[in-house]
Amino acid sequence: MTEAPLLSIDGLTVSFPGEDGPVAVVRDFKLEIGREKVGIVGESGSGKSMTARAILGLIPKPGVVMANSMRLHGQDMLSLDKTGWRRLRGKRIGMILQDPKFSLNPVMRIGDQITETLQLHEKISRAEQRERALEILAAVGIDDPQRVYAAYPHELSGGMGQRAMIAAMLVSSPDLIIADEPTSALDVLVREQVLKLLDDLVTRRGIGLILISHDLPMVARFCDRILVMYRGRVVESLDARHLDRATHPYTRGLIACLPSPALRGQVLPSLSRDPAWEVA
Amino acid sequence: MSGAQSTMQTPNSRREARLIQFKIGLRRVVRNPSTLVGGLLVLTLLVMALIAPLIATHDPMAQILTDRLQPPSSAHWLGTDQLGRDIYSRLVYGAQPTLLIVILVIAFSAPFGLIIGMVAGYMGGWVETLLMRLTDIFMAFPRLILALALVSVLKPGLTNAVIAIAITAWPSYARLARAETLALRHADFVEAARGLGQSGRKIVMGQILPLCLSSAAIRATLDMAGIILTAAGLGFLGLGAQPPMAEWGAMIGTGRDHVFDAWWVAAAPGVAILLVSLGFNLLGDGLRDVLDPKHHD
Amino acid sequence: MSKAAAITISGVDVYHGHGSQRFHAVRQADLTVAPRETFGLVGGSGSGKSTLLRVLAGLLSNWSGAITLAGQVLPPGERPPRSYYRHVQMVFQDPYASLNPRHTVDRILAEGLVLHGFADVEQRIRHLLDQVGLGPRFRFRYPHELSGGQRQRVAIARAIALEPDVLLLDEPTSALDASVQAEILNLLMAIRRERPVTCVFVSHDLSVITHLCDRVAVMQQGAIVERLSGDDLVARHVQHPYTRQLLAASEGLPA
Repeated sequence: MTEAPLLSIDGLTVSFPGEDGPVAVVRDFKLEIGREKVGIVGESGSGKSMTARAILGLIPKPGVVMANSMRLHGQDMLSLDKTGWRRLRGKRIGMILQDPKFSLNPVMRIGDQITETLQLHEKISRAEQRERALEILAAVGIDDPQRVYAAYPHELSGGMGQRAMIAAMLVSSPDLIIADEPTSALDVLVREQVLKLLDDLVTRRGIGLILISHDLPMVARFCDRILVMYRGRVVESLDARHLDRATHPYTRGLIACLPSPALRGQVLPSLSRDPAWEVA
Repeated sequence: MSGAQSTMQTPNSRREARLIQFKIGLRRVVRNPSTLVGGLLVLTLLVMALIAPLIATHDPMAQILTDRLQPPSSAHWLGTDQLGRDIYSRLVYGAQPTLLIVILVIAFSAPFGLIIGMVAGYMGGWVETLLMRLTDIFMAFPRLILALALVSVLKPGLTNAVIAIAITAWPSYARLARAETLALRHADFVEAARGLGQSGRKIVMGQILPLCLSSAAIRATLDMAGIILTAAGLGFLGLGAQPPMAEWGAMIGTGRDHVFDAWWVAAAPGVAILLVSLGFNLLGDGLRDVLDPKHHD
Repeated sequence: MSKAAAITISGVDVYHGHGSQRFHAVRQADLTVAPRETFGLVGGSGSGKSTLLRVLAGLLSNWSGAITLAGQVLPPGERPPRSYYRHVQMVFQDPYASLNPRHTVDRILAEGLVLHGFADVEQRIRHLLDQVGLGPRFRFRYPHELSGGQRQRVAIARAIALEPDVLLLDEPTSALDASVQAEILNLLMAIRRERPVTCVFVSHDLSVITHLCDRVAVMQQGAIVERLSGDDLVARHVQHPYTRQLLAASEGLPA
């Protein structure tokens, strides 16, 4: 990549106070991302979601975020205050979470949530706002934008809700999208549709994407490169097209324990964890 | 999560498991300042009621008419009332009826309300409508006025005061239990119990009740302050505990006539009521922070 | 057990709700599952697969048709007698929701055993914990002290405690990490080897279904649209376009 990175992070550490001093849930995380799709893969407790939250400035209270540097488009993120973070999240970084029910306002119609964001960014008339919102809803593959525009979040199915959330996020045309398990509450068919939609948007609009998931094969299919996290640390960084070239025993173990036609009906290899993986 | 596990002892029996849970709970209670202060106030009331004969300096009933309306002194720490009785000793003994009323009211109203609410929430349909409308009717009565009406119809006294307060106290438990039950009715673990073949009664008592208990305990503690005030109100009006029994509300009632020349007669029980109500409120608030799972992550 | 089928389902319709809100969740389902077979029910959300499973588990009564399970006739429209549950047990999808947070593992396992009048409850609980790979030190723990995989092991132990003829599995690994999923799948296969148990496995994940199941039925919008053998699935001998879509989606290929 020749152009300057969209987001560059160095030495990111997130810790929470524990009974015997602070416990680091993310250690020494380093990432440079341009207009590409990067996957962060790990199991529960690997720190992948905390990494995402740290990039969004959303680490809950007793948590402490430290880093050597954290820059978005060259702008220092570490010195941001609350308002700065909010502006960053609204305008520059979009987020998609696992359950759209938690991130959409339950008492506001979808259309109003979209136009509300539009108002913040552009001065256009009511009619134009509505027009734009409907366009965006159509752009995320919603067949009847009129209905979804007037619907409340709980009236939508999982896949529809996820699309509506993506639509609401796209309004502010972010440079970077962070998607934390965006499809794990969806069934396979809807999952593929949502992934395809994200892929189109990212490629067409030149947006950077960080996809966080526990599903290694899915991430490998979808992303350009993959970071594998284990117990707060990135243990391996991989080209997504060459999963087979993984060298770290943890990554290899994650791949090996998946059911496959070759192992049908046989005992799956279990992952034996080595304490040595936890130290760099 | 993993940190909590590593420091956790491994229990080897049912009793040990419960003990560990209790210890964890206790540690949380002690760490919370409002629970601690509230708990100490309530504990003081409890101890006072239990060892009243040991810490009282005088017989609470002994009338020494020559010592009428004495101000606080070394002989009578909180002074004497219009019949020359030692107020400190009466205050100490007065903890007994106060505690008795609180315990009896909660013992009647909480289980009754919980069962009504859980049955309503679990059964749904017309059973729920019927039970909850009934609850609403009782909830609509102003507590003190209903208690007044009941006591004056029945007969003034401690027992009837308890009955009157209990009748107005149960609906809040029913509401609470119904809300909790509605949220749990289709939880997977309830379905799993149904899938084992458990009856509705067993599911309500075994699966749902344990999860209602902590919010009911919080509710009860917060309620106790109100119960004490209502009981004292009845006593003050002469409809609760009857003389010569030492009861705080009744003590204020008799002190009323001497408020200007002997303020301590009414002030001492008044402060006692204030402190105990405050204690229960603080404890209830603290318990909510400690026990209520909705307040944790 | 006789040679007869472990489960026969014929002409089953399931409805949710009443009146104008009534929703036809399963339409005219017909299925036969042989003893000791592992049968997969596949479909997207809203396909009715979990609903059908809950009917078999005796958790839903608003259905019509005929169901026989392990020689027991499941009465439509009412809750089956307690003895029915002795023959069929279910493992739920989310191990964080399927265990009562206020009960110890010991109590969770003892409940069914006591209810169905098993003798030597103590010994059985110890054996069950060994069988699911947890061991005695987990016996008096509370669910919040366990990981997702450990919780699912407890849920499986609860299900096999009654020695049921039929084990119903509702996406038991979809909420778990891949390495834990492998362990749970291995455990299920070990249980299947040890005991003569018939399994019905519901999932939308074809790789898991293919791994375990002898035969598969594909459901779409409440109806069974295709029946396949596991070998067909491996060899991609599928007819129905919906099955093709599912297969393509689970491998990330264009349909």
